[in-house]
Amino acid sequence: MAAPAPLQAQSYEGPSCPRCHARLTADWIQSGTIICPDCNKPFEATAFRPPQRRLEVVSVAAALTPEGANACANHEHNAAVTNCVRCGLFICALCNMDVGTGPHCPSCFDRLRAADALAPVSTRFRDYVSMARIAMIAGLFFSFMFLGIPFAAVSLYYSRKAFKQLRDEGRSKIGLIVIIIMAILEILGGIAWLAALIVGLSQVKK
Amino acid sequence: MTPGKRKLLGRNVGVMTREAVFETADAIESEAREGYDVTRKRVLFEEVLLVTIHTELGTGYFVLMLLMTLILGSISAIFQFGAHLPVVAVVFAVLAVPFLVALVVRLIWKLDYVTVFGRRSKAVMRFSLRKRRAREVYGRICSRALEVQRSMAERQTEEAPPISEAPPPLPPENLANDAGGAVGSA
Repeated sequence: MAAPAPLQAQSYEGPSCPRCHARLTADWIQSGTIICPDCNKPFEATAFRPPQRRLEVVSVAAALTPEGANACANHEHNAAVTNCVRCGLFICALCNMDVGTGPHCPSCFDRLRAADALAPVSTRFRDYVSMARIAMIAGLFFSFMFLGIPFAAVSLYYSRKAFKQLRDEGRSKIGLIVIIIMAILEILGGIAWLAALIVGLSQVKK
Repeated sequence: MTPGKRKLLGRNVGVMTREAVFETADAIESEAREGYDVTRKRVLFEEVLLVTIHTELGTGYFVLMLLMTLILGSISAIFQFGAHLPVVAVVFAVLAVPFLVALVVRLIWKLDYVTVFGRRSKAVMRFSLRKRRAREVYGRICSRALEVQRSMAERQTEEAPPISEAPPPLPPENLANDAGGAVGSA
């Protein structure tokens, strides 16, 4: 897998006009043809009212297990469900500000947001499959210059990384296997080409 | 769709953007490429707020194709009528044809955009020629989002504890008396 995703600020602010990107207020989010209040151009839309995730706030008295009996640092009557990954504070479901990067208490969440260091819903990684493919194709192009072997070696190196990446994501590896086979053939072809050249040269000398 | 499997829905390829949009079991995944670095964003079906479809001409592309057609066409005209070199004029005319075709195709079919807005991110796809595909993708995303959100709402309704109609039990008499006494004595 690639290096850990760098933290970055999320600039997305909710539904907007797909033409002019002007922010749409709740009144404008509806199904049917919408005329943008900003650019006055129409677009067809289907609006949804997704149900809010229900929080299960357990009270301290109702939490029977010893683990569940810890009280939230902010709400003394609520049982803690987890602790903040940044400061370790016990927090209840109400205080749990989890945006996909682990639970944070409200104050840590605010600090991260103020520092523009709040992890977004996006992840960033390196596409090793493309790198392996490009190296393999480059090797094919430059095989006549004996560069097939180093390019194929680079392709195999990236293929190994890509294999791990695809395995972690549970994606199909068929394309990668084709790249690996081609890279191996490039190496074998390069060796054969070199051997033929050496044999040919030695025969010319004789 | 099993976890890990994903289906390519469409792409958003422009001068500055290279995005591929996939459908997974629980979300729409958008992968934007900058060189070999990929930024993957997810719009969960349970968080979809708005799905839109609209048609645009793509002014930048249109103007570029128009300019190329005009430039190559005028060079061809200059060689034909000014320099009287019909062979060179034909070469430039042939070079102008692909730009003219691209211009006419864009003028007739335009670009279809499908945009999915979630609570935290969005995904955009554009379809240049496949109008039916754009409609299919739009309908598919809407139906999947509706299905997921409906099942989520049903699950929440089922999980909700039944509201008891009986009044809450009264405290025992001795406790009530004690409390009353304490209040009274204070």
